[in-house]
Amino acid sequence: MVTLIKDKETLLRLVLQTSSEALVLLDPAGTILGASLKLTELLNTDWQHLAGKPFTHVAPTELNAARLCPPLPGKRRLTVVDSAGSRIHSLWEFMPWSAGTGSADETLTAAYMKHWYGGPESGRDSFLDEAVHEFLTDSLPLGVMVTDRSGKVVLYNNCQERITGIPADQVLGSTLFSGYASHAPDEIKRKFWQALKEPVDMSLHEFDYTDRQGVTRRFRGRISSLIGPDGVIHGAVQTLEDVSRPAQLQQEIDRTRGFLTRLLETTPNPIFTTDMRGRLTFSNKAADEMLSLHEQTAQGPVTAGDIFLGGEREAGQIIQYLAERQGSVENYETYINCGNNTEVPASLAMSYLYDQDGNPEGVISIVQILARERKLESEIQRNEHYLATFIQNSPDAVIVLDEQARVKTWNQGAANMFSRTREEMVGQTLDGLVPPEEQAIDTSRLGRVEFNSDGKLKHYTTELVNARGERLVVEATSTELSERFNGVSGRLIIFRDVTLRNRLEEILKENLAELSRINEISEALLTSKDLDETLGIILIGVTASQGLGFNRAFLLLIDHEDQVLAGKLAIGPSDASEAGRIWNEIHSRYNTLRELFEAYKQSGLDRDSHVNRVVRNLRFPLNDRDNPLITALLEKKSLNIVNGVSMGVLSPELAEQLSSDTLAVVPIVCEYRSVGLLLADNMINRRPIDEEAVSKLRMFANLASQTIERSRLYHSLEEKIQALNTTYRELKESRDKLVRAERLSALGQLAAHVAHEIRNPLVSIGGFARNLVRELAEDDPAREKIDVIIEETDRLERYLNDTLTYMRHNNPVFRPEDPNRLVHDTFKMMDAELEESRVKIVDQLMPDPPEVELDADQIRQVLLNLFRNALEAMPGGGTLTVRSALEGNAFILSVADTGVGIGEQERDKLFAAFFTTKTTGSGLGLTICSQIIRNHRGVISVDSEHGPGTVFHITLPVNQAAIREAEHEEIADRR
Amino acid sequence: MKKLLIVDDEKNLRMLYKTEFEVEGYLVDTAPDAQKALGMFEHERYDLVILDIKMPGMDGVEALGKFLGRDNKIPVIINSAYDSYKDNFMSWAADSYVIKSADLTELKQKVKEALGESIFEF
Repeated sequence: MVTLIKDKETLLRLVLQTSSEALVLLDPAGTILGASLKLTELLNTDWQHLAGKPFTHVAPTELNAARLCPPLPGKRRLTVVDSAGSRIHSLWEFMPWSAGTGSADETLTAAYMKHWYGGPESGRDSFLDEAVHEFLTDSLPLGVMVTDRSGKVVLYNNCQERITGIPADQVLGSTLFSGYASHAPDEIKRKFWQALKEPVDMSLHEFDYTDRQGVTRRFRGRISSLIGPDGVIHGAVQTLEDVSRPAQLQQEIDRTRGFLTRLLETTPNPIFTTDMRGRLTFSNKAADEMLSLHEQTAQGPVTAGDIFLGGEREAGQIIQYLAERQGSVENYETYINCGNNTEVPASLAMSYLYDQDGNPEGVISIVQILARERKLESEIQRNEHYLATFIQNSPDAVIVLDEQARVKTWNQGAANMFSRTREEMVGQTLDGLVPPEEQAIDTSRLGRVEFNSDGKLKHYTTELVNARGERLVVEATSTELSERFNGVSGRLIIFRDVTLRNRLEEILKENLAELSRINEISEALLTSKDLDETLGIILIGVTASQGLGFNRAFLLLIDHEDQVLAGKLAIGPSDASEAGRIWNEIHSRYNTLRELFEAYKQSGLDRDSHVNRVVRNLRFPLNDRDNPLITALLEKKSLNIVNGVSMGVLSPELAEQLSSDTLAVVPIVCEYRSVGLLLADNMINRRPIDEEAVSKLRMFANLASQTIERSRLYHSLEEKIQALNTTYRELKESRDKLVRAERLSALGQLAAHVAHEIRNPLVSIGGFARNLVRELAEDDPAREKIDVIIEETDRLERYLNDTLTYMRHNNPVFRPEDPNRLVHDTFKMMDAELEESRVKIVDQLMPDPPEVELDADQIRQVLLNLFRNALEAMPGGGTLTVRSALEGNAFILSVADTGVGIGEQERDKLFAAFFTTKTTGSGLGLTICSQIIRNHRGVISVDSEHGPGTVFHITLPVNQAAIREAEHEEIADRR
Repeated sequence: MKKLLIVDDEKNLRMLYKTEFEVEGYLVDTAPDAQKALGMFEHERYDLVILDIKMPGMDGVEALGKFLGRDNKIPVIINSAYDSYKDNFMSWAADSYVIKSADLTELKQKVKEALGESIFEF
């Protein structure tokens, strides 16, 4: 057992000596059996000194509350003291420890000191040691590899692992350059082996190494011998750092520096730096030129105070600004002193330059000479301003959406159009503008507006609503906005409000329909010439549903004779039931106004209808100025009377007559003169009459006036045509007369000539015949023959006289004469002839006739002619009746016979020259009569129709002056 | 015994008038034109002139003026186939205007009237 114990002691000592842990072995009574080398080093004591002492010698009970005797397994914090009495705070772990198969009393406890730390500067700190180790192996940015004397690798840290790419577990334990890094350069190998044999201190090697991944990098290695305190070489250490990265960085830095230098030298902006005291530390070429630095530096160091016009004070202010604004000032405008007493305006951007510690050590200033820049800038600003103004003031809604279709820009036009402010809309989608019921459809529509693959504008008309819920018709265009547009990305949408335009278009359409309606009515009017019919058409137009759709219409016209406004015509039902019946009938039978008019023209209006009876009873005196209808008529103004009785506009009597007190009244104006009124109301359905309806009614009134005017013109035209026809007929007659007169004149001249040529021989023949017969005896048989000569020459001479009298155009010489005496004188002249004729004279002349202005010779000749004709018409005897009568200024003398009469055909030619039914006679007798009577402004006519016999009527004016006056008036009238 | 000057271009009529008025108890000279008549009027005293109008050379109206120019008291009776000269105001200077007729009653009566020997039958 001793052996065993001895062996046990040896074993313990071996364990404790070799353990890298700090531990003690305790018996159950807490006595220290032994301590590891690590622990004795930590407590600055030795094995022998500790063995046999209680554990409380190391961890005194006055410093530790925990019971340590007997030692129980577990972790506990203890304060231990070293040989010098310094305290070390530590964490211990107690655990049962068995060296082998010993008895129960042989049970020991091992107490490990896991972590510790002593007083300051004691160097005892397990945490620090661990950190150092950890740093060495894990965090050191340097590859470290340590070998022992034999070259076997004992330390190989993570960095080395990363650099070489070979895991530590493959390297630890193997011999350097045989099992590991055999490809290393010979120089390294040689040096390493040298370091194991003789002291080598920090031998530096740089080499390129290609790792297993084929990546070549540059390394810098340092090799040193590890010489213990005993002066013996215990091994070698090699450090390795990857210098390929820093080399690249350096190149990069060099290149960047070159770039920056070139940049600084070539930029047109002057750039300079100063230190915190304002001394110029750097200036680029542009700055040198601007500041004329070559001359200034010659006069000594240049400061910021020299550069700025404000001198040192301004320089100090700038430093202050920079401090206030976190070391950066932009758009600092000032004047820069360029030397030679010249200054230029400049805008400066200034920024701190920081040292390695982040403290400002200087200022860099970048100068923009405004003399050159300002113009450009102001132009850009102006353009931007224009654009902004344009967008802001555009009546169109200009909206920019971001990529999520949310509003970014919302101009005033948009605000006005949708009654939504910019603040309300920014960040919102346009969904709120879409009419509620069209949500689904319209969103896609809005989408379609914008989606135009080529990015071009696309018009699209849609409906949107504003904040008040009013519908807007808008024309939308949408454009994709690209990044280059000033960083705005999204979509530009322009809405143009075309609501009004659409409304106008609708109104236009309505008006077109209106026009076509009026056109239909006009057509109907034009095809009708009858005034009453056309007025009926207008009333139908007013009342038809396809027309103005009033319930009832009344037409009143001025009656100038009675000085009243009188109802003329009306249309409309008398009550609701009749209205329903009539309207249904009309609705089912007639589709268009045209059909309605055609039907009306055939059947006419029902003039006995209730409303027509009503309208015929309407008679308003024109001087009744209190009657609003008369006022409207005279002042030519329209009225829209609503509840006229209660409003005091209509008298209850008038409303009663019209059976309505809500009606529209428009005047019918013909050539600036009111001729009547058109009244319309909605008595049945009580529909309100708006101003538009009144103005349409006025239009119908105009149609009515045109119709009335047209009808008036038509009538006057007919009259004129008649007058023209009469004139034409008269003209034709006159022309015939003229022709006849011309013919007669030519004949007459010939006849006169012949007559005179004949007269002289006749006078000789007749004269000598009479001379001869006087010389003959009473019973001379030659006497009878000479009488024949005398008779025949007498006849010829009479014939000549008649002819020549006809030729003579003597104007009558008027003198007042007693017509009765003239007749009696003529009879007296014809005594011999009358006695022979067996004709009875009947005198029915009016007693005491007025004196008639006439040429007695001429009229006597007429009477002579008529009496002779009468006698000749009654060769077997008969009755000759003379009659006279007075009618106003006309004295009528009639000569009637009971003879053979005159045929109708002959009667027409009776007064023509050279016409005769007799075997003897000139054929000029009645022609001369007719001419004489005409010269007396009288008339001669023949009446031979009633029974046998002929009656001649001579009508003479009693007073020539009166008839002449009348003629003049007539002529004047014709003109 | 009264002496008449009858001017007419018709030879037969001169003969008739001469015969008829001589029967009536007048001295009758005749002339075939106005010129000759005026010549005769220079050398002879006449109580009355009967003047045709339509004559070759000087017409009766002109001759009337000349006769009256020589003796404004001399009665002149125009005896014409035409009645158209009635309107000529020169013929108003004549005492009468008688249209030629085979029945010389009117002419004879006018001559008597003009010579103040009216023996109006009516």
